[in-house]
Amino acid sequence: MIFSDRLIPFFVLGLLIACGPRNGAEENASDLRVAGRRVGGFKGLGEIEIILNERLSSAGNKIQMSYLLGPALNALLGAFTEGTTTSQFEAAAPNPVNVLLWDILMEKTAGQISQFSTGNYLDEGITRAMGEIEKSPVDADASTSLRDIWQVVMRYDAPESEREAWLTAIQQPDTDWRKAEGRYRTQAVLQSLFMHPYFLLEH
Amino acid sequence: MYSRSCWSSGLALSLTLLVIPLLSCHRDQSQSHPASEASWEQRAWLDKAVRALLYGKARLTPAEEEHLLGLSREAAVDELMARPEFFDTVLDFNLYFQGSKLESLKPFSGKYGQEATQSIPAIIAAMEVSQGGDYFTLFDWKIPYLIGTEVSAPFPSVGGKDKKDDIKGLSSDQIRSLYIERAENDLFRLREKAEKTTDLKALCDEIDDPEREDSFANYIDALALPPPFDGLSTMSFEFSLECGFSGLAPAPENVLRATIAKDLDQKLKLTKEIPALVKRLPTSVKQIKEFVRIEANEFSFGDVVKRENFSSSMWQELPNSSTNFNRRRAAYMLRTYFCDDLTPINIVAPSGMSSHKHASDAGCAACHYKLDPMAGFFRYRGFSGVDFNPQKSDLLIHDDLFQRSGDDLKNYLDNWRSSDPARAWNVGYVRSATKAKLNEYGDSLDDLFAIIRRVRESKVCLTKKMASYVLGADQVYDGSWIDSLAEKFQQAAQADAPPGASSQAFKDVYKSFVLSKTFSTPDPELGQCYDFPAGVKPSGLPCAVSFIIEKNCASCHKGTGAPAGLDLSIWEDQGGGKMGFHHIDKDSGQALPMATTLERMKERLTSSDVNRQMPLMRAMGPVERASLFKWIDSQLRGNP
Repeated sequence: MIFSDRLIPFFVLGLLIACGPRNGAEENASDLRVAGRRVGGFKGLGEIEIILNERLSSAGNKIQMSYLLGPALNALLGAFTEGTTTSQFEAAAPNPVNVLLWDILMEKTAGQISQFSTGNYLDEGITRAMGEIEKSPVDADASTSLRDIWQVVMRYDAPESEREAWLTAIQQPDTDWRKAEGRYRTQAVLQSLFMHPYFLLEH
Repeated sequence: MYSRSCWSSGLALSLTLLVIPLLSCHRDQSQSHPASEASWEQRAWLDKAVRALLYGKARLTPAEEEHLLGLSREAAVDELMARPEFFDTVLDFNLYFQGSKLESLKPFSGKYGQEATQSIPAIIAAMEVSQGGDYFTLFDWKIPYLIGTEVSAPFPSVGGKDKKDDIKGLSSDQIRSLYIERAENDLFRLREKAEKTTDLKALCDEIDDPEREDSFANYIDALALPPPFDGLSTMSFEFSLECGFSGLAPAPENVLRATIAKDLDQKLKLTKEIPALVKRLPTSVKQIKEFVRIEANEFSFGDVVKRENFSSSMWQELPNSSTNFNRRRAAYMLRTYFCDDLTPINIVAPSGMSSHKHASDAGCAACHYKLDPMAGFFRYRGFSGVDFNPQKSDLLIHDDLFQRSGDDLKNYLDNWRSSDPARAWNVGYVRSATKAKLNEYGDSLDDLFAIIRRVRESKVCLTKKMASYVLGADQVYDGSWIDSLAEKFQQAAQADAPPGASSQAFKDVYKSFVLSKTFSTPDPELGQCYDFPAGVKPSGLPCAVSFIIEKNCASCHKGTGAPAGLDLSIWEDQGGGKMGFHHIDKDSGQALPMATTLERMKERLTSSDVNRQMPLMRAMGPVERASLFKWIDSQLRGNP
């Protein structure tokens, strides 16, 4: 099997679209979920920023994503419309455009976070796991540090079996992350987690 | 939530996009994992519960997690509900209920954003839950004032550079005192002028001049006071009308002089109260409990500015144009407080209904029979929600600036005048177009909100929206489960309910959702009901409509002698895995296909013939009728 983590976003694109709101869900304006979001739709940039900060940031530091694309494009990532009588969560359903935007945003976010594999900018657990992934030899079994990084980022959003499927996929021999050096390896791992449907979508 | 078919579809689409298979979607259960399955589920539930209960939180500290995992789920929910973030969840839900949900309550530095602080009823209801008070203040028309603005120094920019020199070296308190003194001097000067001048129009223009240097308006603005004191720099609406600013003729001299004097006297009184208000201003507003609530009688502004449930931006979003006659406002009320989305279903029209107007056409009356009486509650409200009660003035100005007075205004109000001697106005919450005794009539907006507090429909709507908020409305719920939870709210709304009953009901119902099977099931089927009231067994009917059918239809359509051979208590396999109601054609004795049954049900449900409409000669709530209609329609279109 040919596998490249460069292709993960394209797989995720298909997966997100297929796993988005199911038949008929778009017809009912009240098809909303936790804190008013739509099941199978994006959690939205605001919520993802909260989740990343709670799980990754150390005290006093904040991961800021909203400036990376700008307000006009952020509105396409799932957001509540302004309005005091008709507010609703819009742009929730995954489509090729917003998945591409998410991919760009998460590539940038993962790139920035991967710079902090040392120091105390991030939570101790993620810093340690990132450092180990960065330092480990390319052909080494990285399943322990990968498992750790999954746990910090994903927590219990996905069933356990999803973690195992991800570990199997990401450790295929020909993946780009295996070939990448230093922090670019961490960036690839983080990006694949940030683009995971269980991370990005309401469920 | 991601079914196998979903993952398979994702894979198929990916194959299309990339030609080559990239990643398997298999779920390998044989892999070892450090935590037990139960532990993983418990932790997953806790993470989800934290998100559902604590606004803005995605996780707790490890110590907090371990502590909560050692408790029963119910006890864990109780502990989470005691945290301040839960009351932000209550606020967030209240905004969602009102259709005002924001992207973020606290966009900057953990402080509430300006938009959040303008949603006064939502905040007050959240405060009530935090204090064990009356949650149903969410349903009050007249509400207390609320201050969420922290103490700030006056802007040192009044009156140009020379005047800025006046305040150099002064403290905030000293600047504030100086500005109040200057504002008072300005008010006294205008007040004296109002007594003596013969050119009142010139005085109107002087008071209204926004450029007045060293004026009351500038100084009050510079004090950066919170609402309603921030409105002190503007005169009353009567002042604008009587000065002739709206294009009307100015009021008679004695009337105008009295209005100007009254306005200025009120403002003089208020300026004396500013120091006391400043002492009440909060020093920090990062939690619900830190808002400062002020009752109208604490300051004299109770006479000056009315505090009503609707914010100014709501009035602007719901305009009363010269042609819509408040119907947009009515649709908002029905949608928001009664979950009635005005699905147009034919009704049995009342006798004598004419067809020369859109609203009274039999088909159009499907919506208008309930929309228009609801609109009547707003009949005196013109542009921006201004109250033009004709007892005060013979004028109404719509949001499109169309003005009505005299006969035109009378004709406009006649739209709601009742011919029934039992009531003056056809204004109310209408359930039936033909049976007035089923309806809730009133006159004022106070009456409307009292109806909302009183009726069961608003509690069912509140419960449904809470289910949507916590669990998702695309998930099907058993109607009797929702109804049993709504009963907790309804009991709490009774006049003899103990204090705080509604707050407790809020917590109990919210907790029921977080503890529900629907919430804890990892990948629930959307069309399956997981939760039922205690002691109730599933009927076997499609759970999206089983409660409605059992309540409205199955008492007649049941058993071997069911009318038209249709037994709505039996949902059976009709062959080939297709399910349908037990329906036997009386002539042929053959079972009828589901599509025929549904077409007939749809026709009977939406008939405007009193002898055909089901349930025969019985009332059925408009929301329940709409729900059943939409379910039948979706079945017929192949979208179960």
